[in-house]
Amino acid sequence: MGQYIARRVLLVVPVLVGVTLLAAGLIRLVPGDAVLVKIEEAGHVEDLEGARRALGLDRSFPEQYLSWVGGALRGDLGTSFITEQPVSGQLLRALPVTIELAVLSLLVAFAIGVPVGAISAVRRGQWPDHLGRILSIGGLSMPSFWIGTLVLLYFAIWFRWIPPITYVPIVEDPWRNLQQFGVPALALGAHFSAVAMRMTRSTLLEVIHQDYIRTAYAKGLRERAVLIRHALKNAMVPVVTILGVQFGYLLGGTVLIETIFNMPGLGRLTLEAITQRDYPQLQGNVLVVALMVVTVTLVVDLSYGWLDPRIRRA
Amino acid sequence: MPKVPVALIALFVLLAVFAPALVLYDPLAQDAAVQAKPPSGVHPLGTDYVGRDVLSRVIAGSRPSLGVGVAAMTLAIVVGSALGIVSGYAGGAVDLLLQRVVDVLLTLPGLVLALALLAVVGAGFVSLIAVIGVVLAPGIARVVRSETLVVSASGYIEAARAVGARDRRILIRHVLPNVTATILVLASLAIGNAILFEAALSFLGLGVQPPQPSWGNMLSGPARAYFEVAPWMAVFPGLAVSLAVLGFNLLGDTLRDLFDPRLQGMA
Repeated sequence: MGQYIARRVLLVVPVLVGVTLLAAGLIRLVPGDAVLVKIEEAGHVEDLEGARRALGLDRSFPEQYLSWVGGALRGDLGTSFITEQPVSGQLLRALPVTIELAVLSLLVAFAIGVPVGAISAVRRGQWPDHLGRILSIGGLSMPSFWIGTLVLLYFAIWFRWIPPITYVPIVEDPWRNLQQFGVPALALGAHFSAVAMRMTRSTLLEVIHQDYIRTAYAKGLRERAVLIRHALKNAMVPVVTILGVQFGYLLGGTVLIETIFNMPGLGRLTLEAITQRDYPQLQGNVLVVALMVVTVTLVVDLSYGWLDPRIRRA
Repeated sequence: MPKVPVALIALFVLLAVFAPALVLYDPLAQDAAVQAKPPSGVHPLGTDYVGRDVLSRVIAGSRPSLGVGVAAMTLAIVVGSALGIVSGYAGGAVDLLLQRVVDVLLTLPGLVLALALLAVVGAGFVSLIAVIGVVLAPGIARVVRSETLVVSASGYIEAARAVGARDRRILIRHVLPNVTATILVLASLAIGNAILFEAALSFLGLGVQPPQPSWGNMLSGPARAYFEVAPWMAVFPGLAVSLAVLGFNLLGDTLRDLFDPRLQGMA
């Protein structure tokens, strides 16, 4: 197991180097110094030379890269062009919102996707299966921002619900916080549940034909016991893994959902950084999003190796 | 089952090709007399907040959606398949290097990567195609690579090599034909994904720019303030995206069942 962990952690290094190169290089890819001219036009940066220096554009790319990475390691990601606040401070404020939204959406996705996927697999070829598959492929085809828009719209029309204007942290007032996060998490989770549904169905179909399931039936266990205790338990390992791999896709969805529901999270912060050409903030956000994805993927991979001994020997 | 996806795709392709002839009104023409009117005989899908005909705008919006979808898919498939086949067939250092690049691109969520790239190249029709193509290519490269690995290890490749065939010939005559089925499935799903990306980016204001209608930008901007009094403004553009993407997703599923009978009804 130790060797497996070491090998898996080592694989993270080139990815981190690549992502930091991408984030640091983004600003170099902007044609000319048009970027700085635009920023100046926006009237936010008076000291153009100072801004160039702050971004490291007065030095060579390797120097700029190393100083940015060095800063990042100390937790210093520079200063936002627009708010003139430290980039890291803005990130720390936005992060809890996005993490909570992602976790709640995953819970919603599992709560809907796993049972429907399981019923679909067990009743393969019958009407519950057809219905389940139509729901899942339909769900995958609907844009999450459209689902979000409709949920917002019809909650407003039917229940007079509107998203609260100010964000309430969960430690301050859990009930009001959940009122705030419930509906957006439902919108994002509903879209994501289609993924969970397809994964559960296909892995359960594979598991159902295994010998140990036949054995379980043969020793007289009821269908319910066989399915829940033997089949579903084994099918869940790949489902969890694949959902972990899809975590990045979920984070992409938070950009849209946070924008629609006016939530001060990482996604909205990234979008604002882009529309306002706030490059230091954008670089920091790209780095943090990548770190989140890398961490989740690593944790999922390691737990998979722990759950299934065949993986770590492969 | 194949009838449904083919019919859906045909419907949207016809809409996109003949859009100028099919629209009932000029999709950009505002009419103060019919602002935010519900669906009726005169305006089958209603009108928006400045009195533009929603049906005409949905029809006109099929052009950027399908245009970007097909163009970005083509780019992604060409680049992704080439990288995947080379990576899987060459192995060694080439494979290692290419796969690390793919790792990096797959680490960032597609939408975040697309947004970051658009921040650099700027919004516009061509940049939209290029950016979505770049975002979709790594995923395709990954799948094509693993297929290539399987094909490369098979006996007929060894036989071809034994009779002295060059790499170029083996790649084009033996490897490519055997991964084509996979590429076709991926292409179908990639169009659906590209349409979703185009809609999302236009929704966020970085894709097709107003007043030109696209399914994504019809759901954003000042229009949002009117959705509560005129829900049809929100319902129909999203429905168009969903049905078009559904067509390509169903086609992809059908193709997969067709090419790989083992997977029949599995996923």
